[in-house]
Amino acid sequence: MTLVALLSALGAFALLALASDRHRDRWRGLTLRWRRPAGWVLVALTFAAGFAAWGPVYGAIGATGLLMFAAGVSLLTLNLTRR
Amino acid sequence: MSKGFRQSQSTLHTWSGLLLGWLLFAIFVAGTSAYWREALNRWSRPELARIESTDRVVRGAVDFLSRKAPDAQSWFITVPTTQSAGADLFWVPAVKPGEEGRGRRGRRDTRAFIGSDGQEGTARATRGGEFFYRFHFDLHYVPVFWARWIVSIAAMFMLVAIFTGIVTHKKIFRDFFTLRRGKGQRSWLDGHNATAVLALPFHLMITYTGLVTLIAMLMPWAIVANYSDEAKLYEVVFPQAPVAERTERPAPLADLVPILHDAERRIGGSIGYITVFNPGDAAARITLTRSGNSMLSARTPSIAYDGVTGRLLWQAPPVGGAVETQGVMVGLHAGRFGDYPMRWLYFLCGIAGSLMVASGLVLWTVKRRERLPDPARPHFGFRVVERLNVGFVAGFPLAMTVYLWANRLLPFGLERRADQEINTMFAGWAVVFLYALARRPGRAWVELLALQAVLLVLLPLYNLVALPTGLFATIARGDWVLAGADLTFLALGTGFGFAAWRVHRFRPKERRRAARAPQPAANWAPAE
Repeated sequence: MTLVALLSALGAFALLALASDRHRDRWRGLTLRWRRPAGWVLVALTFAAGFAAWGPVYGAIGATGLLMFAAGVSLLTLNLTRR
Repeated sequence: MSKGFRQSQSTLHTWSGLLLGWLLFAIFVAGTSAYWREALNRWSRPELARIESTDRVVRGAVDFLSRKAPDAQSWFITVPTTQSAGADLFWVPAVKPGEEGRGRRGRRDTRAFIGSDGQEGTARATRGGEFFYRFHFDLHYVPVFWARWIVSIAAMFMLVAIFTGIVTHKKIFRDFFTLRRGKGQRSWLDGHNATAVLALPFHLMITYTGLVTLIAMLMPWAIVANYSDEAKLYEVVFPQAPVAERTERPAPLADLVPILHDAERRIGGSIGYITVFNPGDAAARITLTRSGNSMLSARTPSIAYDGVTGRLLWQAPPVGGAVETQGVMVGLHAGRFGDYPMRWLYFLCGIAGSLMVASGLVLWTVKRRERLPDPARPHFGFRVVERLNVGFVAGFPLAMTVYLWANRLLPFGLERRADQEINTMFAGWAVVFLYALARRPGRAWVELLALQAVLLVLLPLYNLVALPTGLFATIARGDWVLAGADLTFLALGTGFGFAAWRVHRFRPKERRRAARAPQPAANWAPAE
């Protein structure tokens, strides 16, 4: 479940980043207007998976941590691979 | 929002961040390493095998104390986990007639460390990762009371810097995923913003809860207003079993291990430490306190047994809302409850926080450099900040690495060895600091970052060659606590090496312009 939470967090912030003005041209997979809502759905899923993995108290802490980590991964990946 | 308000917040952000930023950086870095306190405690004692049975260590601790301090007033034993190095013990010696008022006994006379083999003195004397943990709120060479006030004031400045930073940041959402490279000041600002905004929940939490850990010292008024008797307050905050008077009738102490397991069952989690009052006496009492590893709140409950019969005597009542709230905040700060994935998240957030403080400090100089009337001769204040940045941001992590090397290289039997490790660290830092003050900052950054990289990467190599806990051996044994420490040093060393290389390659645009000018500015140096 920790892994599901991690993947979901990475997906969430990848979508949110790809919905932003700066990075929207990097990917053509999903229509632009669905990226942000899909990202938020994955944020919710991260919390659900976090609760399942760590329980309601630690889950909230773990999911927040994973989302911060995923935001960092998105930021670095998208900006450092930009030409 | 009015421009004037944002401007005032920006000024406040700059100065609250700068004034205590150097100290905050050291607190942040040392505090971040404390998430691996137990791993570092083990890493610092390579002589000790991994703990297979915690019971064996507890039995060893009781045997040692029964020999060393049979008539003590009390014993205090930390209960190890399979991840820790062993058990720390200390005892309060009996006051013998005629001995009263002879002055304080040395702290070390009444402390010991029991290793995984249940024996004392097998491992080198060290404070391991414990020292960094204490340093991040007690500092060193400073009385604890003053240190905690200084650290608290720094934390309050940090809180002010965070809030004013949020107000100052104009495009917090639009620039959320923005990191522009190779754009000088813009890039520094992006980096500073990214480390701050992306880990903002952590930064707010860690600073606020850090202040809450010292709340009774910082805001004593509620306590003063409600409790005239300090003992009453302690009863509420740290409920304890009533202690029996010593009877002077000798009686053998009950076996601690079955009591430990019974307590774990009743309390619903692992035990962190055991206190034995009046050992060897008919009035012996054993108090066991739940470990912070097994619950969120740091205000963990206790349970007490008769020390002779092993009968359950007392269990802590549930604490009130205020104590629970504070306990949860302290627990959230320390992250002891976390499993390995959680600890990694805490650790990475701590690194982000350290980078935020460091990039903010550097940004102060980057921003002002462009406005200097004569970049070749910056004014005194600029030069002070520039050099202090090198001394702290490059110097403090280097000093920590010197401490780790002192742990490896100081002779085993050295007098007051654990203290000497710490003295070596500060002596090393003093040398680095003087170097940073004397050397041109552009060169000092590269040289110190490179030295840090080399020292960090060499640590696991030294272990490989000189010790039985080399990386290949620990991986083969599946000992990921020690292997993880070595791999982390390698990764951090590579990171510092990359930073050194980037600073070395960095050529500011202004410099190229200056080189073409009739009078080349030879002393001009980049800060980043």
